[in-house]
Amino acid sequence: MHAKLNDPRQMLPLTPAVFHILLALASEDRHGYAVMRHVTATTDGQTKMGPGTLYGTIKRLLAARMIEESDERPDPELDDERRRYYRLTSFGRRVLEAEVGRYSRTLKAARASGITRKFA
Amino acid sequence: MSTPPKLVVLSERIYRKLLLLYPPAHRRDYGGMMAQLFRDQCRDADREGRSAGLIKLWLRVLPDLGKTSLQEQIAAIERKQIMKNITAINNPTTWLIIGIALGILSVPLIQSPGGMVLAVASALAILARAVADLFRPSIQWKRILLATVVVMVLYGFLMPAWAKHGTAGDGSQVLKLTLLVCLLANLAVALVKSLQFLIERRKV
Repeated sequence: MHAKLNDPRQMLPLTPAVFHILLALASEDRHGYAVMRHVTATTDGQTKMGPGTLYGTIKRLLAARMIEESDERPDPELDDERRRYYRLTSFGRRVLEAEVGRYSRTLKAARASGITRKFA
Repeated sequence: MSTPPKLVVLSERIYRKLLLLYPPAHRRDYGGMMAQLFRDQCRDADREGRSAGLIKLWLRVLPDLGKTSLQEQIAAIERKQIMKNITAINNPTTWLIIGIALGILSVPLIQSPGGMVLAVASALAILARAVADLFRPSIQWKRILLATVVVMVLYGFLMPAWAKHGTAGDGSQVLKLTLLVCLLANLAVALVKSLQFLIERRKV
């Protein structure tokens, strides 16, 4: 676990569920439902997580110290007290950055081979 | 807040029942939140497509539930097995039995290098027993002392047998030194635990 904590590259490649959850938490603290909505919105509805996948992944991310529970609530007036908020840890952010870097390099290679021309 | 449609209420009720497929610990930690998330999804689905929306949601959620409940059950079994193994490793009696078994096994083989290795392994198992006992509460001092006496008596029989059949040279010296360290460690732990018990009893 300590080796993993020191080197984010050891956690790569991330599963799609892990990647999307980390990405959802990169901009702000969110609760499970907000994470799920963010994932659906950013993937144009192509990725829809069920409660089992979402909370199973959250459980593993908490154990790997990539995310943690957050006490801060954006607006307590508007919020349900029972909801738990999560935030990215500094290690989680480094892992996410490493994965995005890996994707960037892959995309660069794909562009160089002309594969992505139609998506440009 | 308006009353949720009957189908949403029914769906939520069924989903809560299906959560029984997950291990109890997972249900305790995440069951409430999973049910809440499913309720939110049901409301979204109902708003977007009424009954058809709910059917689509169920078609998505059921495979997710089947797959993840199985994953969590497997993980729970693995965790239980690991905990069982850790408990066995931490158990001084396990180490005592291993030490005795290896010691007895080494006697007929002591003239060979394998026998020497078994004797050293036996001594190391006895050392592990002492280390495990060091972390036991001092109230168990009688049990620790008794186990130490058993170790001493047993080694009282084994050591002459090893000396009689053992080969002279570096290997024999290593064995002697290992035995001495391991036996002294056992004795030291028994004394420390007995003293600790006496001191703690005085404090009370």
